[in-house]
Amino acid sequence: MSLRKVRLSSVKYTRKVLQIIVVSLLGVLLLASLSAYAQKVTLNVLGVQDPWFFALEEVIPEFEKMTGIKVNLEGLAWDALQARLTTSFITKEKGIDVISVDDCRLAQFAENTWIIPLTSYIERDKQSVKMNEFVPEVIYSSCTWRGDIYTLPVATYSQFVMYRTDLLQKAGLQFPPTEPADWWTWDKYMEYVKKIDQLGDDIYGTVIVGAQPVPIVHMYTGLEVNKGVRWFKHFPEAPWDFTPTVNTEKSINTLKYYKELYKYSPPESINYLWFDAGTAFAKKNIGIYYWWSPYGYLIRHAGYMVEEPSPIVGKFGVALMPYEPGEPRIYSLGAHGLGIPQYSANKEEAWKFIMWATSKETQKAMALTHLHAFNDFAREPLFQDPELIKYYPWLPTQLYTVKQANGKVSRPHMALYPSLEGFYGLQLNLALAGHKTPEQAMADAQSQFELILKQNYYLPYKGLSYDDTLDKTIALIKKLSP
Amino acid sequence: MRFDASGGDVQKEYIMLNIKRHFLPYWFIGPSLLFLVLIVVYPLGFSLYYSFQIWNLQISAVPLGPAGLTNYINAINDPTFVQAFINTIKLSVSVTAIEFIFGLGIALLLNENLKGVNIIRAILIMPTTVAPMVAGFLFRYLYYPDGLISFFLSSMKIPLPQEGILGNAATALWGIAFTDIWEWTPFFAIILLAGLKSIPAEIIEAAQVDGATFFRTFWHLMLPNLKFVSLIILMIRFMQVFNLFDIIYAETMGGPGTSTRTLSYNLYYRGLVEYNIGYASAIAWIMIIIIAVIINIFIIFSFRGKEL
Repeated sequence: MSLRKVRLSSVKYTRKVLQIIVVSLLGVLLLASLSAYAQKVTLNVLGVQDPWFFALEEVIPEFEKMTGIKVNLEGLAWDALQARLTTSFITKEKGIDVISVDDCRLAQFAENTWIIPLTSYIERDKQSVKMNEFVPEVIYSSCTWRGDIYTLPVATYSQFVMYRTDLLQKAGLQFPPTEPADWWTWDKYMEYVKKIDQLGDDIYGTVIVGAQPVPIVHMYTGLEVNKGVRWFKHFPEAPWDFTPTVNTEKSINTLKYYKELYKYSPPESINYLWFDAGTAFAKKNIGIYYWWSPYGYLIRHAGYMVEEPSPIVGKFGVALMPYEPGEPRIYSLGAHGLGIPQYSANKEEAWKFIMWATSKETQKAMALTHLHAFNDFAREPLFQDPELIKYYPWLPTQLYTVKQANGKVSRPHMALYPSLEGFYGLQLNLALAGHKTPEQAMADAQSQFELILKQNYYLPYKGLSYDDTLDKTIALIKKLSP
Repeated sequence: MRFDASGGDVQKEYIMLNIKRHFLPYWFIGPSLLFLVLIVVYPLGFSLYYSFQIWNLQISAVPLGPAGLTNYINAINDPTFVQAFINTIKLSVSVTAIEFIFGLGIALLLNENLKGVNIIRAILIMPTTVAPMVAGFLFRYLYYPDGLISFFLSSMKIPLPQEGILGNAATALWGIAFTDIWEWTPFFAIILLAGLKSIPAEIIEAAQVDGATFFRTFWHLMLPNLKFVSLIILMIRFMQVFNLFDIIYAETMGGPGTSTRTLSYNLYYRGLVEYNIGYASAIAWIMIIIIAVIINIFIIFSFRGKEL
């Protein structure tokens, strides 16, 4: 080979090597920048599409701006959410960071260690969390299991009465009380229902929720807990004894009472889901009914989360649930709490989000979004905020119902609750439809409860009982408060 | 076989060619077969195994050990099992039959080459494009006492239950059946129309020339030629209706009482509400066995002497 050729090939070789080095450097730089970009945390938050979800969605940009953490908020229908969550737990999926936990599922999630306790996080950040602001009954009913706090409440639902002011006036009836009053009993409530029902053919005294298996249980248990009915012999205080106590005279009489209410409801309410009862109250002529507290604001709108006002705006009031003489005033309570799945890879960021979403400031902002469709508070100062009372004038009444509530008694939050609730709802619906007498329905509920509990080693209960009391929760809150 | 000086190489080449020819089809269908095994055989095996295990996610995140036949016994002894089974059979048989009869009628009309038949065909297929859950919610509100369907029926002086069609045990199942019929009859119509179009026109014309009435032509020529297609589609649709869940979920959740509760609803409730995996797997296998028996009896009688 000539010298010229050697030099030429040497230059070519060097050029080639230089090209390779440059390309490699560029590649490394690209990878490094991609990696840096990828390290910006994105939180995946899964929740049910209740009103709180839409309110939270509107205020999330504030959190992102404040922390630099991107939030991917996804909403699902309740059933779909439970299926998605359970699948993610079994497959140990790392991609979900914050979840909304329906309080009736808390026991199952906690016992299976699918979500982590938040107690240590709260203790560390007590100055920010301000546990002393929470109504203890909410934390007790919906966020604790075996002495640990697993969620913080993002939406708390109690139950109260809503009534049509014009129809009650027409019937010559006094408005029900917003504070405890001895005259406001369940017998009086039935009198009201009957009297309003007589006002006209197109007027119904009340509306009930009748669809089985779950919706009917939500409304029915709000009545039965007031009337002194309990599902188990001894729960949640220790020692736990899950011997069913649903086949009692009190229970049968309560079911008869509910059947009586159905006589003065739209007949199709036997198939009503949760929202159907609220829609019926907002659109038909229905005198009085009791339901979950979000319906206080939901019935102001013509449809679910729409701006258009309903025909009854300015024509309804909110009052306390009646009581049963001789029985303690206990109301039903439900809540969605935010928790952290065991397998989340971003637990610290998830905790930051939970603290923010359940804080007084964020909850107030959620209540003041353009729809004004959220007031499901758990922090006491919010119930007393004049700016919020302007939009939700029944907040003081709602606070009373929350403070008198006991979710662990109205719908016992133990691991087998979903199975029991399903069968209970079926029996209630069968009785309502006239396919069984109340006596038969309760007898069948009792025997099936026994079977389910025995099959799943809950009767007799051989596990470890925990003496779950409100006082213990109050002491825990005190310990975790600033 | 070619004989030449290198006879052994030719033979080897011939053998290799035969092997390739023999196994080549398997190479092509292999990926599909693997996919089928993953999405069908594995889940079936998984559910069969766990149907004999105690695995209830309400009480334990992991299986608790063998259950023997307990899950199957519990599933059959469930107070709702008998009613669910009866409802499932009632729904499957009646809906399939009605969809077939109406579908065939529509197919015969569309086969007449009437004016605007292409547009009608396009409109007709639309219900089938609606998701069953959406159809369920739509009809739920149409069936209300003040809903459109109730309005039409009342104006025709047809007495309706005061609870609404879906609120009464006597009419709720028919309400669900009607929703499914509305949605899937066009499917039958389109398939049967294709079957009708495949009948040679000369046979029909010859019959008409010979003076055969429409009924005789239909009964002796069209129906026998449609037999194979009809039986296949009846079989497929029966299995689909047997597993019907979404419309029931959207319209009645199995109520009122147990009047619209089906085996598939029971399966959904045990599996995706109670998360009793063992129990739900047992229900799934009971359903598989029932439908396998029914379909096999159907095939034996329908396709006697013929290969599928």
